[in-house]
Amino acid sequence: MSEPVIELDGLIHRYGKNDALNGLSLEVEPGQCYGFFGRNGAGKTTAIKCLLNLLRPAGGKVRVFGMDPVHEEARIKARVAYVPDFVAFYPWMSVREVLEYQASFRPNWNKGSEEALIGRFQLDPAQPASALSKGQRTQLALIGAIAAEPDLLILDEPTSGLDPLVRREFIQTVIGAYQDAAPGRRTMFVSTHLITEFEGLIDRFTVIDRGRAVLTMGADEARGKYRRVRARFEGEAPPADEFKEAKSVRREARSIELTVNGNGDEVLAKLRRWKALDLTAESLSLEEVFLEAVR
Amino acid sequence: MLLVVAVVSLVAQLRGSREYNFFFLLQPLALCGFGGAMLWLGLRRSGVKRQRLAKELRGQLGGALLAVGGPSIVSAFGPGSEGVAALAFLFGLLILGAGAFGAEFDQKTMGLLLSAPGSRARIYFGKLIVLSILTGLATINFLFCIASFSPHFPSIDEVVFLFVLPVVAVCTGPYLSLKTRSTLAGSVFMVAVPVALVLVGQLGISLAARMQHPEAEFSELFGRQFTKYCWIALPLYFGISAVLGWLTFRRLELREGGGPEASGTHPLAKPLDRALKLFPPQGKGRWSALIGKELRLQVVPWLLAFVYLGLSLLTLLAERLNGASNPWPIGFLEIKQSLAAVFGFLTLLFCGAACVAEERQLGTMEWQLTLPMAMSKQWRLKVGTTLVLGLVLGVAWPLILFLMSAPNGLADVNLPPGVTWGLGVMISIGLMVIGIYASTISRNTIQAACVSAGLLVGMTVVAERISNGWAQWQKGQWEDSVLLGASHDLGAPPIVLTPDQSVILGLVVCWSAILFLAWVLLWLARRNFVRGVPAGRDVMKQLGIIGAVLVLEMMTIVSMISMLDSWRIRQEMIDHPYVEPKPAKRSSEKAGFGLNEELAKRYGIPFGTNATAAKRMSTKSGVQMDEELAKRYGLIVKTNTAPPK
Repeated sequence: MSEPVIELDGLIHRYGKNDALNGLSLEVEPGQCYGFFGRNGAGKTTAIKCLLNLLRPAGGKVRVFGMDPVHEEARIKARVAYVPDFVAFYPWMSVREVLEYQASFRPNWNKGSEEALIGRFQLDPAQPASALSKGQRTQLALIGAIAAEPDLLILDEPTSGLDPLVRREFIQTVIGAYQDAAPGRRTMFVSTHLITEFEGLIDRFTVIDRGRAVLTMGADEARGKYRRVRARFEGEAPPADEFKEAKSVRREARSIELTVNGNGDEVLAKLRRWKALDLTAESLSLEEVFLEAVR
Repeated sequence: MLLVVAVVSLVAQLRGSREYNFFFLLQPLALCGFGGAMLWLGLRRSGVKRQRLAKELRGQLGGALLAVGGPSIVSAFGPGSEGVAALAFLFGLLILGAGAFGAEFDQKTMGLLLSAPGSRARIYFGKLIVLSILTGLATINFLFCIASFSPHFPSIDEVVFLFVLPVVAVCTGPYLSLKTRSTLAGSVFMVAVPVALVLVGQLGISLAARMQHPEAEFSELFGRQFTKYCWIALPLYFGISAVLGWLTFRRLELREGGGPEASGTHPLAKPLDRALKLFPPQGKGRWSALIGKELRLQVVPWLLAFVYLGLSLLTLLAERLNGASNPWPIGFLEIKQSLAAVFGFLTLLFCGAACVAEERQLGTMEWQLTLPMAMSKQWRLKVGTTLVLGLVLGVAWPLILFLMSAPNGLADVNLPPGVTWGLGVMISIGLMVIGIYASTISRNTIQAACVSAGLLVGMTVVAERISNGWAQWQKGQWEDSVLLGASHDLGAPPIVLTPDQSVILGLVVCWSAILFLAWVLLWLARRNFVRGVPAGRDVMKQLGIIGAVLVLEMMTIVSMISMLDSWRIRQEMIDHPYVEPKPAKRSSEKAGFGLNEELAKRYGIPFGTNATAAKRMSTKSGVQMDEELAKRYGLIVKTNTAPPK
């Protein structure tokens, strides 16, 4: 089995007396597109900063490509590109200069990819970075990250500020193409609130809440396990207490909606016993799985 | 905090060994009143108006602390501290004036301010009222500070000049900071614009005068009148600036995003960008890219250097044209020295302050740190570039311009020896390192500059107090051990230095102390650079470490100086055995009779008193006295052969 690209084990970090990370553990395998979901303040950005040695954890283990970020940060950073949630550039540089500046640190800089992405995002290379809008700054940061051809791409809310058109273009085309260029080698670690946008790309994900992983699962596995069952009855719907195995129950006069986690067949059988007229079961989206996990 | 400053100031004044006057009491009282008023306003939560006022006061706290607290604490230590007190006051006034509106850009809250329900006039004039109160109180406090230890109240010229300063802050600060969208740039132009206007005005007048009276001397024509013209032009300048400030605010538009890059000093540095495009001449390596970036980040020192160049050239022109050595309407200010001191100090301060904080302010720190280069390398390069640039722009540049403007070049300047230059460089590096440390605990450059100035004032006070107190205690310790031994009991001291050797050793000790303190500051700064802005508790711990190191250093230096001094005295006693024989001193101390003038002065005993007791004591014990004392009391000098009873 290949070595994990990211390995967090019992990660702890505190800001003063507040626990930002409280024993977070996860593993990311090479070639995966890994989703990292959580509510605001759950500890996502803190965990990413620990990966990049921007924060020193108070406890636990951090490994990136099997290396310790504290002691081998330069070797790790040579293989990693990061797009932060708040993107800023030196205001005196133009778009072209920002990319040249980044390229000076990257021996594998892909000039062709840079040009193609500038064209795709319709950025003016001579435009000063200070004149870029928030969305354009994000685009520029994404170009810098993709053209660097890293083995690990870490994106922290990468699509915030992008308009829907660019967002779709970026996720479906750019990110897809990036991974497809070297399948099995290029890994992505995406922290986002816009889970629906990345639905098709995510292979595996972790839901983090109050600094702790509350759910780690493969995307397909999650879709198979988490299902929503709806049933309609001729008379009054059975009481909610009857379905204690369901994660959530919403009952109306003649219908009932249940969310189940891996025990869908059992619930379906019970509903049939209650002589449900109309019985449907569908997989939950990752966003709905996330909502169920943190609720 | 201001109340704490007031208490510290009062205690320091009470403990100081100097004569007091009426203002000695007034100054801390004024300070207490000022601090109390701010505290009252800050604590009151009810009332919209009061909350707005409290918000304004909180926003101006950094400048207020410098302008009010700095002089209060420093000047409490008596004459000689005026320079530091004046620097703190002036710097605080600049920050107050430019910060009223500039801070809204720095903190990215201008959008919030403008979108608040209320007319722009109310916002603008509300800020102006708070600014007027703060600067007025700060000036009164400063006047009391300097008056409290001065034998004479400042002259009317000085008082008038002093009260022009808050008017400069209130009238020109808002306009210049709104125009430049930055506290820093605003404060630089608050100094530069009036100085430049005066020099340009003088040049214009002298040119016109020369055309009419080619043979006449400038001083004959305009020497006295020019000052009057300046006083006439001053209200005009203030009025125009105030009106322009209001018009600028009324028409103020927020540029795209209103983010840090849309404001601040960076848009002012277009010429610098063009110059730096040539740097490095070739190659696009990561080192050259990083060095170029670091040089460009230091926009304020560059700005200061360019402004200083402009003002120096104007001064030079005015001098050449008028044949005057000080082309400046204020008699007690030497323009060249003042410019060199102010711009040199500010350049060094801002060089350090911008080192890390500027990048944090721009929001590029995270991005920069994730580029594939070890943080330790990035840190070394950052600090190295800052120090080199600071020495070039803050030391070499003012020196070159100062020498250029001296009519006879180096001949006019009493250049100190090389070691003193070395000390100057060391102090400059120390100042920058304080700035670098402050920069790593701050979120933006202006905050870092205020923290640097505060640290500098605090460290000066601690060093001064510790060195004085420890020196007094040490003096007693070393001298007692030496003087209580009879001259024939004394062994030769291990080392006796010549005066030249003493100076060199003193400088080496000072260098070492500064270097060690700088190393501690940089060690702490590096931790903060890697780990981000530390929490308040961590900052307090770090300040504790810095204070402890400073105290230990001062105690070590003072101990060393005292020890060397006592060795020198011991050698003198061996060379002149009659000066202070042991029995004479012991007996005379018991009897309380007068020693010779020098000894009496040294031990603080009244000279020439209690002659009867002296006679009785010496007759009884047959004590040996030195020749001079014996003569004074009509005794015969004899050798003390018998053991003392």
